[in-house]
Amino acid sequence: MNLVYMVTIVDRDAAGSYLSLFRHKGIALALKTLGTGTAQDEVLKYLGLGETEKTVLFVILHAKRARKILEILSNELYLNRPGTGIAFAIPMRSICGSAMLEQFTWGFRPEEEREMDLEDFKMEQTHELVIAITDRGHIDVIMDAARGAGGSGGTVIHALGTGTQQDGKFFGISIGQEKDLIMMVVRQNVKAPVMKAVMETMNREHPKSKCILFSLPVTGTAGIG
Amino acid sequence: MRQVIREKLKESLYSILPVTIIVLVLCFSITPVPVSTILLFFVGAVLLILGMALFTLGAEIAMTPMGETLGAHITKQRKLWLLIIVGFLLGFIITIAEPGLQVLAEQVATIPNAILIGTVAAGVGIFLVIALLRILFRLKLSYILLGFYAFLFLFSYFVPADFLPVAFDAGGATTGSMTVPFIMALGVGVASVRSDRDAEDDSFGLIAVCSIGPIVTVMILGMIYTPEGAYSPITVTEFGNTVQVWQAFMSAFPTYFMEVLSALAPIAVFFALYQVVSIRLPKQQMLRIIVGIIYTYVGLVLFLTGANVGFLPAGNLIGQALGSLSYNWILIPIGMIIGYFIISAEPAVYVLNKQVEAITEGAISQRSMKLGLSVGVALSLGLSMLRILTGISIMWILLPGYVLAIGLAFFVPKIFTAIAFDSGGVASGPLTSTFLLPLAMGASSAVGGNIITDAFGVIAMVAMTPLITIQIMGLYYKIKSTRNEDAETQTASDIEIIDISE
Repeated sequence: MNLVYMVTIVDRDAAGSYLSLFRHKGIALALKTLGTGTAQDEVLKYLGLGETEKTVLFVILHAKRARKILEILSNELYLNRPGTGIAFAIPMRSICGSAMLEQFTWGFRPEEEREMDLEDFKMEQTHELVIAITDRGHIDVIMDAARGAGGSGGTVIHALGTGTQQDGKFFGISIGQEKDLIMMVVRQNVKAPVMKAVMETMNREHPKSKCILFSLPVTGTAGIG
Repeated sequence: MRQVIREKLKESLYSILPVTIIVLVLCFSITPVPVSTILLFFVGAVLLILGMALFTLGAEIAMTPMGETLGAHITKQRKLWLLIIVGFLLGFIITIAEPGLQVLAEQVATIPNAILIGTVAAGVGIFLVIALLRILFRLKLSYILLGFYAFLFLFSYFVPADFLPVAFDAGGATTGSMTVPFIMALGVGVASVRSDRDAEDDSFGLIAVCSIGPIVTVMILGMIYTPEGAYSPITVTEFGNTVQVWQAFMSAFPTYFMEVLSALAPIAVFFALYQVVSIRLPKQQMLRIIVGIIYTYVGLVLFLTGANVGFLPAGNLIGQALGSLSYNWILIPIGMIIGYFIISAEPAVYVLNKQVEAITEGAISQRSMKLGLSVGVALSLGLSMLRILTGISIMWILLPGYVLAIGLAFFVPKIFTAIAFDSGGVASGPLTSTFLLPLAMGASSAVGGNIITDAFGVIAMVAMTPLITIQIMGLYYKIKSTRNEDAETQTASDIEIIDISE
């Protein structure tokens, strides 16, 4: 058994066709959230023309199917055309509950497995996913630092930090910390410089931003040059 | 870059083209209007498309971030006095500058303009504070709305009947295309720092409560001054040649330069002061907001000029022509079709739909919001035209409408109630007052009705029906989602942790 957590980031208008592709392929669960693609260019950023609206989809599926899906994504849905979107898979270590496991592998057809076993099955590991979590409002700084060290684009998801001592009550409502979660898929050889550059810049310029930085392995990508 | 520009232009083209086509078809078939009016309308439509694209871009990178930052900030501070003071000041200054309110003040001749504008602005300020406190003390929006609207209708009994349509129009008119994106973003900002369960539901509902303020204050003024309804009649000038048509736009631009400036400046100045004193956004973000404000400004100037110079005369003449047809019942279906399509051309509607989609993470899509609003406005136009033809009192429609809307609030998911009551204020934007109201006035004068009681009230209608249609949409979602839950079978819960071999 070999499960992966696959992340697909696509233009918001196109999200529907990806969801229906997943449904058509019998993928049991898809989580959907909204994200923002970061600007590529200084001038465009100020003119407000750089950011793109994205939808981020998370699915759990069998690694071999993931490879097939990634192939379909890059061929049929044109993920290989730059700017339209990316997809990548993160290997999973464990899952709770045999029923759950069955549910996620259920749609996997034996003949598909056999067919793919013929090839020497090995997912290429060329990239890594760098995730930065900081107090809101530092996207520009982080992306500039990352780009300087060889990173390319990123996708931002707005989030709320909870559970810390700083959480407070204000009459009837509880107040959390506003956070940004930035995802960047980078080549393995630039991962270290990118992370280093981001951390250095953040420590120097915004030491109070509580930046957390870590990376996850990525097996298989689509739409990344 | 080109992608964003193309996207924006396409969106605004799609929002404005349908109503343009309908009007052109009408003008070439059953409603004869002077050629120069058509030309004005056509140039107006082009300005609308450009203006809308710029305005929505500006709203996204300036108005929304400003409102959200402010909302988040006043909540994070956890100081009650700060929330009350900032809330009141914001409500007050953005209303005082609202162009829609200036127009309203002109219409109500017997009340001095300064007094009317001042009290309405104070009303909005107070109600914005009430709306914010409601979130803080976790009072249900439906109870607040029930309370205030019940009071409002009891109160309306003591207000001169002539004055009622204007009072109800005031609610829709004061929440204009500048205030709506800003107040909406303020609500989203307040919700964005919350980590509790109801945060999403409470993202909306500020405009809903704010719209009550002007109605109450105008009614109170109406009792004190016992005014007679009055209005400034529309004069349509004909132009002999194309140069004169263009001149008409050019001579109108300065008016709207000033008007939009006075609406935008208070928000910008308030935010700038706040930025200096307290929030201190990074320079990059400030720069973007400034660029966004420029987009918003230019966009709204183009839009308002196009609507006032190009759309207003066409609306009035088409209304007159339709009303004087022997088969003038056709006003009802044609009004409904125009209503259905014109609503997507309101700039604030676009901002609302976008915001709803973002907050609900796409669960309530822009498309379904558009449909709900279109059906709502189509209904309200149908009813308005019926009123023009028959002269029935507006209360016969408003009262049951609001009873139904508030009744529904107890059955639909909370977020739909908040969105629905917000969209009431959103739907009645500049196009309603520059096209739908003149259309109604034209029709009313042609059928020989009482313009004060029959034609006015269109804005109030447009502000009322979406409350019902959006909530019905919520009811549909609720029924659908409970059905889905039933269909899902619960898998046996086991807690064995399975390691996946690499």
